[in-house]
Amino acid sequence: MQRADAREELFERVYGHVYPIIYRVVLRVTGRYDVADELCQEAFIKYYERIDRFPDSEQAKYWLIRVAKNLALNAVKRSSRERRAYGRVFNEPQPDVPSGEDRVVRTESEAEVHDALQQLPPKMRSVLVLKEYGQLNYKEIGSILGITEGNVKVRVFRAREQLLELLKRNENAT
Amino acid sequence: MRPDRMILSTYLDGEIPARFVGEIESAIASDPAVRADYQEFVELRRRLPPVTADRVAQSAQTSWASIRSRLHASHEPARHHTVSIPIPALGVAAAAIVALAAGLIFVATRPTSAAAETYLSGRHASDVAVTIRVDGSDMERVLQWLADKDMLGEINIQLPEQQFRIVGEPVLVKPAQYQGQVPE
Repeated sequence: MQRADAREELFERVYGHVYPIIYRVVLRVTGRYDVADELCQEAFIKYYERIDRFPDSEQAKYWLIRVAKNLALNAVKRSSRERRAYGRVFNEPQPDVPSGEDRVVRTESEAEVHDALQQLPPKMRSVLVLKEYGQLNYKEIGSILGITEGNVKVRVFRAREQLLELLKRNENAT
Repeated sequence: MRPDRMILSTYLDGEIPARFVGEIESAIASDPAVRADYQEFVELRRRLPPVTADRVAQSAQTSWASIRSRLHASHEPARHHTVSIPIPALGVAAAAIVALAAGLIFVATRPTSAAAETYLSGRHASDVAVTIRVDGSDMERVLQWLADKDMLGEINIQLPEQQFRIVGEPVLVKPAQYQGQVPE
């Protein structure tokens, strides 16, 4: 009984600490409120099922962020595939921008950055999102992605440069 | 030394070792090109769509309720699950016919020609009266039958007086302990 109580307590503590981080990351990767809610819930259910493997809440945090990030990237990939398939079948692209309450970006400027962010390669996008929205330091990002701090530094820099390049290109095009 | 763009990006993230921070800050303050590069990164960060604290709190609350509900549903003990097994009407009818036939066969084949019949009327713990007919022509067979059944509960035995003579007062004797003795 005590063990079950301790598990519940740990789960609640990790949830309170980690949920805001993974929600911001997943929301920024997917760009959808409804999808972000669903994926965060899925990540925490996976964690609950394996909670005994993570007695340390820091390990749990890194594991959860990694799982949530992968779920988000997979969801985006799946969504892109579905859009392409839709376009092939009906000869018209399915709109990528969600409508109404599910829309994440509100202003034109936010929309531009959001679209440019989606155009970054997944490796670049995830490292930048973890930095900007996860509010994690290079060491933590390195632990999550399994790369060195130096590698994180380089990827964050390159992601920023590419994002700036994409934004300039889009601005010149309009 | 003029800091390159990667160093400025790293500085923006607060990941520059403390001993170099002063040098970078003075370069940003004194060199317009460095300042422009740095401002580009600052502006990019500012343009990133924000995720408000209210939105995070709202999602955390909604998801918490949903997670608890999903976990509760998946970890509910099996005894709380209601399992319904559909039984076709034809199957029920077939089972009823089989039970009726078995009853008729039992009645038709029960022993009726015993030399002496012993009627044992047992009352079980559940207070359901059960009448059992035993073909027992002598006391040894009746006792053996009782011992074999290993029955619990109060048992009333009705013995036909032609074969079993009543002598003295009734006494309590366990079947296994009965040695054929007649009470005084």
